[in-house]
Amino acid sequence: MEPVNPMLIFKQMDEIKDEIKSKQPLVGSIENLINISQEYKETNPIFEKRIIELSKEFPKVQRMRADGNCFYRGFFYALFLFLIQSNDKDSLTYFQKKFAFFRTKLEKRYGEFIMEMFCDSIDDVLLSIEQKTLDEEKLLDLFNEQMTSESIVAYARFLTSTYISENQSTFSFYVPMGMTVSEYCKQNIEPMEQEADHPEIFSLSSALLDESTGLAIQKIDGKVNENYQTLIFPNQDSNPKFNLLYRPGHYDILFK
Amino acid sequence: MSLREKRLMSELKSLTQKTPDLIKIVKTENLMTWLIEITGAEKTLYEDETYTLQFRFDTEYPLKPPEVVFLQESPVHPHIYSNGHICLDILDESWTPALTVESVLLSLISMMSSCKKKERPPDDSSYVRAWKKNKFSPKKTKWFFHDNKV
Repeated sequence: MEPVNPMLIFKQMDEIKDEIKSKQPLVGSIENLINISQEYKETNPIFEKRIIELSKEFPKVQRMRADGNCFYRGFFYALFLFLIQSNDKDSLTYFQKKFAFFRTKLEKRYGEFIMEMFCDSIDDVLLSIEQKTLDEEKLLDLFNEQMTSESIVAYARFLTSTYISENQSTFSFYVPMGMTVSEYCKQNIEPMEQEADHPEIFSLSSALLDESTGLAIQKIDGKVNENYQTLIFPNQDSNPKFNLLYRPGHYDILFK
Repeated sequence: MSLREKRLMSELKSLTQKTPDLIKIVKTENLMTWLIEITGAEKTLYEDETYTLQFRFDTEYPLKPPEVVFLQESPVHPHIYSNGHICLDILDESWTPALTVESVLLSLISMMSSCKKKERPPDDSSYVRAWKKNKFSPKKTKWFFHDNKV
């Protein structure tokens, strides 16, 4: 048998990545959730049924590019959209204080000049929300600008990693045996394109959200006897202000 | 000034002001391509040997890693190919935007310091033969990181 040429495998992987890039924007436009159910018509009737059920409560969806950054990008897009749409001064002040607090922490942990571009990318958005120069359309453009969008994702990753490192007793349960929390963060959270899982969602939500501003994840998987499952972060009693759709390996944003 | 330029200027300033031992900045007139010399640490297989590295930063730096290769002679090491390409996880899938030129240099010095036997990677000749055909960037290679200890 001919040995498989590793260069060829890599080329194919590159082509798949390039195809995703050329076909999917970083953040798509709002569309009907029912469109997604139709994609499962032939392949997975259970998923199709569950998405139809979910679309009764959440008729609209905004898709994230499937590049391993979808949770982090979706979280920040939905959070900023909430701040724009709610036009609530108290919420904005709350988040401005939160991000100022974390800026100091991140600069101390990673170095000031290293964190500058990532923290700035967040502060710039908050400032333009405050000055009311950022509307939904401009937010969408901003999140489709490669450098800005990826800087926000990188920020989300550093914040998640820092929060987990500072709350090791809570998170050590999730870390695989034989790995330190610090190694886990360096390998699973900080590199771009590493997918987020439960500990990352819990960490980022605990760092930024509270009882009055929560995140709900509507989860669809292949389990029997369940329609869709609603998970609320940072804890079950929080009042969700934005919603994400979870399908195995991917997150999008949901709207009522 | 782009975000990449701003970041590189800060890195250069920091590295120039406080250059770690064994590192010498050779050329950075073009901000997007740096030449840096590293010298093997004392009491290691590479003691007193000096090698030149080339760093190239594309438009996605620091969100994506720089391209790093040894120029001319590369150190004989199980993770360094004779064409100068380096198999190091932080230059590929383990890169994070919090890493810097300095952290890459320190990782390389540490990788060389822990080496027990000077030898090329087992697939050196086939890899370099493939590379000679179209001179691809090491960033195009799919690396397999089976041993981070060497």
